[in-house]
Amino acid sequence: MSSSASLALLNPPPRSALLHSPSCSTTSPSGLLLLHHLRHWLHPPLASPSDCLRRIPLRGRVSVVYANLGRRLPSPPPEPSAPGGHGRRWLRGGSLGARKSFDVSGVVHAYEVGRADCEVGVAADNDDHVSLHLIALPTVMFALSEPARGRSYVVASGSADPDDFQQINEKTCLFAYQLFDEMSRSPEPVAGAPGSSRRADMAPVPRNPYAGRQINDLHRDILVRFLSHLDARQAVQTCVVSLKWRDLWRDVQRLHFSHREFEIPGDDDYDARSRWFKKFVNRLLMLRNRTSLEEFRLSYNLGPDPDNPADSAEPSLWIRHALLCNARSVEVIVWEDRLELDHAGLTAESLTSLRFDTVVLYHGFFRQLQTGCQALKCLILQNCPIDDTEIFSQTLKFLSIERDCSFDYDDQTSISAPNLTHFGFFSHGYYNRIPLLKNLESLETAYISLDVQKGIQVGHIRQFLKGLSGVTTLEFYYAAPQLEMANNLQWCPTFRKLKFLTLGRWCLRGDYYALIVVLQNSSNLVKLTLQLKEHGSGFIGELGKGSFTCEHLNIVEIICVERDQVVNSLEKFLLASGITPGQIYIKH
Amino acid sequence: MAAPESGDGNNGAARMVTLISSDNTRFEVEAAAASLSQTLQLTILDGGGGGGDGIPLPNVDSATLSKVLEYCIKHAPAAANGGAPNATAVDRAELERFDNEFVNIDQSVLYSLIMAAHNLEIEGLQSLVAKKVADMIKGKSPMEIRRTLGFPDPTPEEQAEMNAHMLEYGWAYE
Repeated sequence: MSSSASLALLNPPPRSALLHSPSCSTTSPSGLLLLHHLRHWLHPPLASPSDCLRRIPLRGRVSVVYANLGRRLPSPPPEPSAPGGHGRRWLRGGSLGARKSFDVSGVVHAYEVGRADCEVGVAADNDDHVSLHLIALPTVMFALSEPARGRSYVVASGSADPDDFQQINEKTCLFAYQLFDEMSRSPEPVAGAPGSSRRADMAPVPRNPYAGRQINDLHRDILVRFLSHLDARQAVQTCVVSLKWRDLWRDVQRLHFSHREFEIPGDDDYDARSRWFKKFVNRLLMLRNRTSLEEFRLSYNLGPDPDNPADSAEPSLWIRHALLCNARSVEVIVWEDRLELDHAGLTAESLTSLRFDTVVLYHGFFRQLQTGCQALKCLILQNCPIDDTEIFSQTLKFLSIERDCSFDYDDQTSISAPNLTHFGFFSHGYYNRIPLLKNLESLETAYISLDVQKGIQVGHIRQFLKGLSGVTTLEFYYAAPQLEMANNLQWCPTFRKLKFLTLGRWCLRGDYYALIVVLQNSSNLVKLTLQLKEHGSGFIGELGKGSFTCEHLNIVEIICVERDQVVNSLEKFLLASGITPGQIYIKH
Repeated sequence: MAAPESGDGNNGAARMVTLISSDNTRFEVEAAAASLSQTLQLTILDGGGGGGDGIPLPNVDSATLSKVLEYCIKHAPAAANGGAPNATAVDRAELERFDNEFVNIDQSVLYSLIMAAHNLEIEGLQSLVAKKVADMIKGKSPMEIRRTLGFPDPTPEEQAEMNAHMLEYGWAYE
């Protein structure tokens, strides 16, 4: 029996062998499933297709060959001969039709398993990449062949309309059986002929047994560490790499759930995908060992569904679960939808770093962080609507508010974080009022980019800069509407500690107005960087004195495109202000 | 032996320590670099490794140790900055380039490096080699992983056991 089993792996199994040996066993998981499938295929339609339907990961270049068989095969196919040479003999009375190649990365599946009233033939050709063949009428069969290895497999049948080849091709929505090991991204040349033992056949890669055995001999903890750099689904899948690897995934301390691992190119069945993703996350969280988590990363896209508003219950639970596992770092990125976070469960003694992308933060979020997450040091918010008008924290050291985080419309939001050392603020919205920086007394570095279309006022800028006046490193870009600074208006504070300053092109407006004013207020500056590649508007105003003195300034770096007209006059200006030519560095 | 550019606090001139590999080769290296190893850190803090003494490392051969030290020397300045929040993007890119190049090595060397990183408890290097192995197996099927890492083929019994196991894990595969 084992001989027919191994043959089945290498070539399409003779039909008679399958019919008469319904209980064939095999030594390979793929063979197991293949036989499993064929057995069902040869009988009336499956009662419950989902029981045995599998999807297979497919990567690389795949070609689909559409073969119109036209009629049933008269007899069981002959035994295969040489690799690659056995293909056409299967296609008796048929003809190879259109052939299309396309790049695939994802999972191949078919909608349903077909009926038993057709014949299968598998065409293998001599190309050295994996081919997917559509064969037979009225039911369409999909077969996969790896001619380089002299193998073909029936992967699925479906009731798609074979005339509409284009459609099938493009959608690539074929259910297929889990082929598992046999799939190869880039099939290697075959060592043995088909029919030779499987083992010989499976050794195309030159081995380094010494090194290999050693890696497998590494301590379990080290192996687990390897898996923590994989996405969750693949990490679980390594359970069949070897017996030693069977339960490694249960101890992985960094979980990365990404919806990308569940995407099927061309398939827009968000529902099925969401269900699958949720099921996976739930199972994994339930079945992993209760070791504490270092990192929990969740990046999901449960699909845009106008009838089904943000489904936030489960993701909120997952986050809560991660926190119960003492996760130190949590990162949540939501695509095409948003997570309406229930922050009541945000209680975690060990949480030090939190990043939210497209998460709605309702009123009370920051109070909850303050009381529930007392070890929190780093908070990054991207694209998050923030309900609270008071952002405060005693523990935060790193805060970055980025990409379209919107604040309350009416009241000005204030930020108070006395222990903060880094503050990043990127405001790119149509209307977004700049927050009031109330207490950032420990601040050392700040990265600011203001790109607001409307509503910016001189008073806001003055308040904002005042809040940053204690920094040693400042990077500041401005692309909001041009502001005219009235005479005698002290919009720029004294930057007593400022040593490293980076400004955008905006500061050159109006005869270097803003540049001069900032430099006049930064007497301890050591290095000035002018990033001229990004255009923007700026401040204009009248200067009492058109020069500056920074005794410690000894490096001026200008980053610009080649042949930037501004650079020459800028250099002249700097030289006139006491900078020597050797202190100016121009980078393109 | 260059003095630190700015007074980073510790000593005026960089203190050197000597490490001795399993094949008795002596390596002289700045204490700050060697201290990336949690294992060595305490000894060095206690004043060990200086002068003619040297710290013997019976588990690390000279080829591996020189590789490990190459990593430590490169990463020591950034580590001294404490996670380097002030490091410029250029510095970070340079370190990243170095790291990629650094692990572009033969599997047997990689193995020695993994063992050394764990024995010496060099956190950054541990992560780097783990990432390297993960990159080697990323997107591969279990069989391909076996081949990539050069595992022996499973015996039929093992395979049968794994088959059963796999059916149990339909939720990760379907």
